[in-house]
Amino acid sequence: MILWEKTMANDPKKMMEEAFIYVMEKMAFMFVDVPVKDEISNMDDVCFHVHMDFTGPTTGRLGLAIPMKLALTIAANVMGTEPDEPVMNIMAENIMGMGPDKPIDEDLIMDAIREILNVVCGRFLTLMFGDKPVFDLSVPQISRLDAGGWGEMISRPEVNVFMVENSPVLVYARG
Amino acid sequence: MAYNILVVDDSEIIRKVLIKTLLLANVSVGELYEASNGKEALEILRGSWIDLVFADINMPVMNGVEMIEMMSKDGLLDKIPVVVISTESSSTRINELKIKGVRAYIQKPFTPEMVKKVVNDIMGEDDG
Repeated sequence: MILWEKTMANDPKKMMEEAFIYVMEKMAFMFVDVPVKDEISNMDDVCFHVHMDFTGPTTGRLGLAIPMKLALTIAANVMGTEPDEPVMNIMAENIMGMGPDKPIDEDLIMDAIREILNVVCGRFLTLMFGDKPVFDLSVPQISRLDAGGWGEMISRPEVNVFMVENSPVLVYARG
Repeated sequence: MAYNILVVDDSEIIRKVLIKTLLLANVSVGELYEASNGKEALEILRGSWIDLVFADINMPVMNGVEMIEMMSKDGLLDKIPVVVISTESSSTRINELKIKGVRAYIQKPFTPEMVKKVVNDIMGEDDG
Protein backbone atom coordinates (compact mmCIF):
# COMPACT_ATOMS: atom_id res chain seq x y z
CA MET A 1 0.00 0.00 0.00
CA ILE A 2 1.33 3.41 -1.00
CA LEU A 3 0.29 6.04 1.49
CA TRP A 4 -1.40 9.11 0.10
CA GLU A 5 0.65 11.58 2.04
CA LYS A 6 2.06 14.97 1.32
CA THR A 7 5.84 14.98 1.17
CA MET A 8 8.31 17.38 -0.37
CA ALA A 9 8.72 14.98 -3.27
CA ASN A 10 5.10 14.23 -4.07
CA ASP A 11 2.68 16.90 -2.98
CA PRO A 12 -0.55 15.87 -4.78
CA LYS A 13 -1.57 19.46 -5.40
CA LYS A 14 1.80 20.31 -6.93
CA MET A 15 1.87 17.14 -9.02
CA MET A 16 -1.65 17.82 -10.26
CA GLU A 17 -0.58 21.33 -11.28
CA GLU A 18 2.39 19.96 -13.20
CA ALA A 19 0.30 17.29 -14.90
CA PHE A 20 -2.46 19.71 -15.89
CA ILE A 21 -0.08 22.32 -17.30
CA TYR A 22 1.79 19.66 -19.30
CA VAL A 23 -1.35 18.14 -20.81
CA MET A 24 -2.93 21.48 -21.69
CA GLU A 25 0.23 22.53 -23.51
CA LYS A 26 0.81 19.24 -25.31
CA MET A 27 -2.76 18.24 -26.09
CA ALA A 28 -4.74 21.48 -26.33
CA PHE A 29 -1.84 23.82 -27.22
CA MET A 30 -2.91 26.24 -24.49
CA PHE A 31 -0.85 27.93 -21.82
CA VAL A 32 -1.87 27.93 -18.18
CA ASP A 33 -1.47 30.68 -15.60
CA VAL A 34 -1.76 30.29 -11.86
CA PRO A 35 -3.86 33.12 -10.36
CA VAL A 36 -4.52 34.06 -6.77
CA LYS A 37 -7.32 31.76 -5.71
CA ASP A 38 -9.22 34.42 -3.76
CA GLU A 39 -9.62 36.52 -6.92
CA ILE A 40 -11.58 33.79 -8.69
CA SER A 41 -14.63 33.21 -6.56
CA ASN A 42 -17.60 33.69 -8.88
CA MET A 43 -18.57 31.88 -12.06
CA ASP A 44 -21.33 33.10 -14.36
CA ASP A 45 -20.87 30.59 -17.16
CA VAL A 46 -22.28 27.07 -16.95
CA CYS A 47 -19.46 24.62 -16.31
CA PHE A 48 -18.65 20.99 -16.87
CA HIS A 49 -17.38 18.98 -13.92
CA VAL A 50 -15.56 15.79 -14.89
CA HIS A 51 -14.01 13.36 -12.43
CA MET A 52 -12.48 9.90 -12.45
CA ASP A 53 -11.21 7.42 -9.86
CA PHE A 54 -8.07 5.33 -9.77
CA THR A 55 -7.52 2.17 -7.79
CA GLY A 56 -4.37 0.18 -7.20
CA PRO A 57 -1.69 0.45 -4.51
CA THR A 58 -3.64 3.50 -3.38
CA THR A 59 -6.95 5.02 -4.42
CA GLY A 60 -8.07 8.52 -5.23
CA ARG A 61 -10.11 10.82 -7.41
CA LEU A 62 -9.10 13.54 -9.87
CA GLY A 63 -11.41 16.20 -11.23
CA LEU A 64 -11.72 19.32 -13.36
CA ALA A 65 -14.33 22.05 -13.55
CA ILE A 66 -14.26 23.99 -16.82
CA PRO A 67 -16.55 26.76 -18.12
CA MET A 68 -18.46 25.59 -21.18
CA LYS A 69 -17.06 28.29 -23.49
CA LEU A 70 -13.51 27.31 -22.63
CA ALA A 71 -14.41 23.63 -23.04
CA LEU A 72 -15.49 24.39 -26.62
CA THR A 73 -12.13 26.02 -27.36
CA ILE A 74 -10.27 23.10 -25.79
CA ALA A 75 -12.25 20.62 -27.89
CA ALA A 76 -11.50 22.60 -31.04
CA ASN A 77 -7.81 22.80 -30.20
CA VAL A 78 -7.56 19.10 -29.42
CA MET A 79 -9.10 18.39 -32.81
CA GLY A 80 -7.03 21.02 -34.58
CA THR A 81 -9.99 23.01 -35.86
CA GLU A 82 -11.86 26.21 -35.07
CA PRO A 83 -14.82 26.23 -32.70
CA ASP A 84 -17.24 27.27 -35.45
CA GLU A 85 -15.83 25.08 -38.19
CA PRO A 86 -17.10 21.66 -39.12
CA VAL A 87 -14.98 19.08 -37.42
CA MET A 88 -12.21 17.61 -39.55
CA ASN A 89 -12.43 20.15 -42.32
CA ILE A 90 -8.99 19.08 -43.36
CA MET A 91 -10.44 15.73 -44.30
CA ALA A 92 -13.52 17.19 -45.91
CA GLU A 93 -12.21 16.79 -49.43
CA ASN A 94 -13.02 13.12 -49.22
CA ILE A 95 -9.38 12.16 -49.41
CA MET A 96 -10.21 9.32 -47.07
CA GLY A 97 -13.63 8.69 -48.46
CA MET A 98 -15.14 10.59 -45.56
CA GLY A 99 -17.32 13.63 -46.04
CA PRO A 100 -17.37 16.75 -43.88
CA ASP A 101 -18.11 15.78 -40.33
CA LYS A 102 -20.61 17.31 -37.97
CA PRO A 103 -19.84 20.57 -36.15
CA ILE A 104 -18.37 20.29 -32.70
CA ASP A 105 -21.37 19.47 -30.55
CA GLU A 106 -21.78 19.03 -26.83
CA ASP A 107 -20.99 15.31 -26.97
CA LEU A 108 -17.63 16.01 -28.59
CA ILE A 109 -16.90 18.80 -26.13
CA MET A 110 -17.59 16.46 -23.21
CA ASP A 111 -15.54 13.77 -24.91
CA ALA A 112 -12.58 16.17 -25.19
CA ILE A 113 -12.79 17.18 -21.53
CA ARG A 114 -13.03 13.56 -20.40
CA GLU A 115 -9.96 12.75 -22.49
CA ILE A 116 -8.02 15.72 -21.10
CA LEU A 117 -8.67 14.44 -17.57
CA ASN A 118 -7.79 10.89 -18.62
CA VAL A 119 -4.39 12.01 -19.85
CA VAL A 120 -3.87 14.27 -16.82
CA CYS A 121 -4.60 11.25 -14.63
CA GLY A 122 -1.96 9.12 -16.36
CA ARG A 123 0.60 11.88 -16.03
CA PHE A 124 -0.33 12.61 -12.41
CA LEU A 125 -0.01 8.96 -11.33
CA THR A 126 3.46 8.71 -12.85
CA LEU A 127 4.59 11.92 -11.19
CA MET A 128 3.16 10.85 -7.83
CA PHE A 129 4.02 7.19 -7.67
CA GLY A 130 6.58 6.46 -10.41
CA ASP A 131 6.20 4.06 -13.32
CA LYS A 132 6.11 0.71 -11.48
CA PRO A 133 2.65 0.58 -9.83
CA VAL A 134 -0.32 -0.50 -11.92
CA PHE A 135 -3.54 1.46 -11.48
CA ASP A 136 -6.98 0.79 -12.83
CA LEU A 137 -8.72 3.92 -14.07
CA SER A 138 -12.46 4.45 -14.09
CA VAL A 139 -14.28 5.95 -17.06
CA PRO A 140 -14.45 9.74 -16.48
CA GLN A 141 -17.91 10.92 -15.41
CA ILE A 142 -19.14 14.33 -16.49
CA SER A 143 -21.92 16.57 -15.23
CA ARG A 144 -22.91 20.22 -15.27
CA LEU A 145 -21.91 22.50 -12.43
CA ASP A 146 -23.88 25.60 -11.47
CA ALA A 147 -22.61 28.70 -9.68
CA GLY A 148 -23.34 27.18 -6.28
CA GLY A 149 -21.40 24.04 -7.11
CA TRP A 150 -18.51 26.14 -8.41
CA GLY A 151 -18.43 28.20 -5.20
CA GLU A 152 -18.48 25.06 -3.07
CA MET A 153 -15.71 23.43 -5.07
CA ILE A 154 -13.39 26.41 -5.13
CA SER A 155 -13.55 26.66 -1.35
CA ARG A 156 -11.99 23.22 -0.86
CA PRO A 157 -8.32 23.28 0.14
CA GLU A 158 -7.26 20.59 -2.35
CA VAL A 159 -8.56 22.57 -5.35
CA ASN A 160 -6.11 24.33 -7.64
CA VAL A 161 -7.28 27.30 -9.69
CA PHE A 162 -5.72 28.03 -13.06
CA MET A 163 -6.39 30.55 -15.78
CA VAL A 164 -6.58 29.31 -19.34
CA GLU A 165 -7.26 32.00 -21.95
CA ASN A 166 -8.74 34.26 -19.25
CA SER A 167 -11.10 31.55 -17.98
CA PRO A 168 -10.69 29.90 -14.61
CA VAL A 169 -10.36 26.14 -14.36
CA LEU A 170 -10.59 24.17 -11.13
CA VAL A 171 -8.42 21.09 -10.78
CA TYR A 172 -8.17 18.70 -7.85
CA ALA A 173 -6.64 15.45 -6.69
CA ARG A 174 -8.08 13.77 -3.61
CA GLY A 175 -6.81 10.68 -1.80
CA MET B 1 1.81 0.27 -50.00
CA ALA B 2 -1.33 1.56 -48.31
CA TYR B 3 -2.32 0.03 -44.99
CA ASN B 4 -5.80 -0.74 -43.76
CA ILE B 5 -5.87 0.59 -40.22
CA LEU B 6 -8.31 0.00 -37.37
CA VAL B 7 -8.50 2.60 -34.59
CA VAL B 8 -10.06 1.36 -31.34
CA ASP B 9 -10.87 3.94 -28.67
CA ASP B 10 -14.03 4.76 -26.76
CA SER B 11 -13.30 8.45 -27.28
CA GLU B 12 -14.61 9.64 -30.63
CA ILE B 13 -12.39 12.70 -30.45
CA ILE B 14 -9.27 10.59 -29.95
CA ARG B 15 -10.21 8.38 -32.88
CA LYS B 16 -10.59 11.48 -35.07
CA VAL B 17 -7.34 13.00 -33.81
CA LEU B 18 -5.42 9.78 -34.40
CA ILE B 19 -6.78 9.50 -37.94
CA LYS B 20 -5.82 13.09 -38.56
CA THR B 21 -2.38 12.40 -37.07
CA LEU B 22 -1.86 9.43 -39.38
CA LEU B 23 -2.57 11.71 -42.34
CA LEU B 24 -0.33 14.49 -41.03
CA ALA B 25 2.43 11.91 -40.53
CA ASN B 26 2.08 10.90 -44.19
CA VAL B 27 1.35 7.32 -43.27
CA SER B 28 0.13 5.54 -46.37
CA VAL B 29 -3.46 4.74 -45.41
CA GLY B 30 -5.84 2.57 -47.39
CA GLU B 31 -9.10 1.92 -45.60
CA LEU B 32 -9.70 3.37 -42.13
CA TYR B 33 -11.94 1.60 -39.64
CA GLU B 34 -13.12 2.77 -36.22
CA ALA B 35 -14.37 0.87 -33.18
CA SER B 36 -15.33 2.17 -29.75
CA ASN B 37 -14.43 -0.99 -27.80
CA GLY B 38 -12.71 -4.34 -28.17
CA LYS B 39 -15.89 -6.22 -29.05
CA GLU B 40 -16.66 -3.94 -31.98
CA ALA B 41 -13.02 -4.19 -33.06
CA LEU B 42 -13.08 -7.99 -33.13
CA GLU B 43 -16.18 -7.90 -35.35
CA ILE B 44 -14.39 -5.61 -37.78
CA LEU B 45 -11.20 -7.70 -37.66
CA ARG B 46 -13.15 -10.86 -38.50
CA GLY B 47 -14.91 -9.22 -41.45
CA SER B 48 -12.23 -7.01 -43.00
CA TRP B 49 -8.61 -7.12 -44.02
CA ILE B 50 -6.71 -5.07 -41.41
CA ASP B 51 -2.96 -4.47 -41.53
CA LEU B 52 -2.50 -2.57 -38.27
CA VAL B 53 -4.51 -1.90 -35.13
CA PHE B 54 -4.21 1.10 -32.81
CA ALA B 55 -5.99 0.37 -29.54
CA ASP B 56 -6.67 2.07 -26.23
CA ILE B 57 -6.63 0.05 -23.00
CA ASN B 58 -9.41 1.47 -20.84
CA MET B 59 -12.66 1.00 -22.74
CA PRO B 60 -16.15 -0.13 -21.76
CA VAL B 61 -17.73 -3.44 -22.91
CA MET B 62 -14.37 -5.04 -23.79
CA ASN B 63 -11.10 -3.35 -22.89
CA GLY B 64 -7.93 -3.37 -24.95
CA VAL B 65 -6.21 -6.13 -22.98
CA GLU B 66 -9.19 -8.47 -23.38
CA MET B 67 -9.28 -7.68 -27.10
CA ILE B 68 -5.57 -8.46 -27.49
CA GLU B 69 -6.01 -11.75 -25.61
CA MET B 70 -8.90 -12.72 -27.90
CA MET B 71 -6.82 -11.84 -30.97
CA SER B 72 -3.90 -13.95 -29.75
CA LYS B 73 -6.19 -17.00 -29.48
CA ASP B 74 -7.52 -16.56 -33.02
CA GLY B 75 -5.32 -18.07 -35.70
CA LEU B 76 -6.53 -15.52 -38.26
CA LEU B 77 -5.93 -12.48 -36.08
CA ASP B 78 -2.88 -13.32 -33.99
CA LYS B 79 -0.40 -11.97 -36.57
CA ILE B 80 -2.02 -8.56 -36.94
CA PRO B 81 0.25 -6.02 -35.21
CA VAL B 82 -1.35 -4.07 -32.38
CA VAL B 83 -0.10 -0.70 -31.15
CA VAL B 84 -1.45 0.40 -27.78
CA ILE B 85 -2.12 4.10 -27.33
CA SER B 86 -3.01 4.89 -23.76
CA THR B 87 -2.62 7.33 -20.91
CA GLU B 88 -0.97 4.69 -18.77
CA SER B 89 2.77 4.81 -18.23
CA SER B 90 3.27 1.93 -15.81
CA SER B 91 6.31 -0.03 -16.98
CA THR B 92 4.78 -3.09 -15.30
CA ARG B 93 1.63 -2.78 -17.42
CA ILE B 94 3.63 -2.05 -20.60
CA ASN B 95 5.77 -5.18 -20.08
CA GLU B 96 2.61 -7.23 -19.54
CA LEU B 97 1.29 -5.94 -22.85
CA LYS B 98 4.52 -6.80 -24.67
CA ILE B 99 4.31 -10.35 -23.32
CA LYS B 100 0.79 -10.55 -24.73
CA GLY B 101 2.16 -9.63 -28.16
CA VAL B 102 1.65 -5.88 -28.37
CA ARG B 103 4.15 -4.54 -30.88
CA ALA B 104 4.49 -0.97 -29.62
CA TYR B 105 3.20 1.39 -26.98
CA ILE B 106 2.52 5.11 -27.41
CA GLN B 107 1.62 7.26 -24.45
CA LYS B 108 -0.93 10.04 -24.86
CA PRO B 109 -0.56 12.83 -25.78
CA PHE B 110 1.01 11.60 -29.02
CA THR B 111 2.58 13.44 -31.96
CA PRO B 112 2.68 12.69 -35.69
CA GLU B 113 6.38 11.89 -35.34
CA MET B 114 5.73 9.26 -32.67
CA VAL B 115 3.00 7.64 -34.74
CA LYS B 116 5.06 7.72 -37.94
CA LYS B 117 8.06 6.10 -36.27
CA VAL B 118 5.99 3.29 -34.80
CA VAL B 119 4.26 2.57 -38.11
CA ASN B 120 7.58 2.55 -39.95
CA ASP B 121 9.21 0.30 -37.34
CA ILE B 122 6.38 -2.22 -37.49
CA MET B 123 5.66 -2.16 -41.19
CA GLY B 124 9.33 -2.08 -42.12
CA GLU B 125 9.45 1.24 -43.94
CA ASP B 126 12.23 3.79 -43.78
CA ASP B 127 11.60 7.02 -41.92
CA GLY B 128 11.75 9.91 -44.25
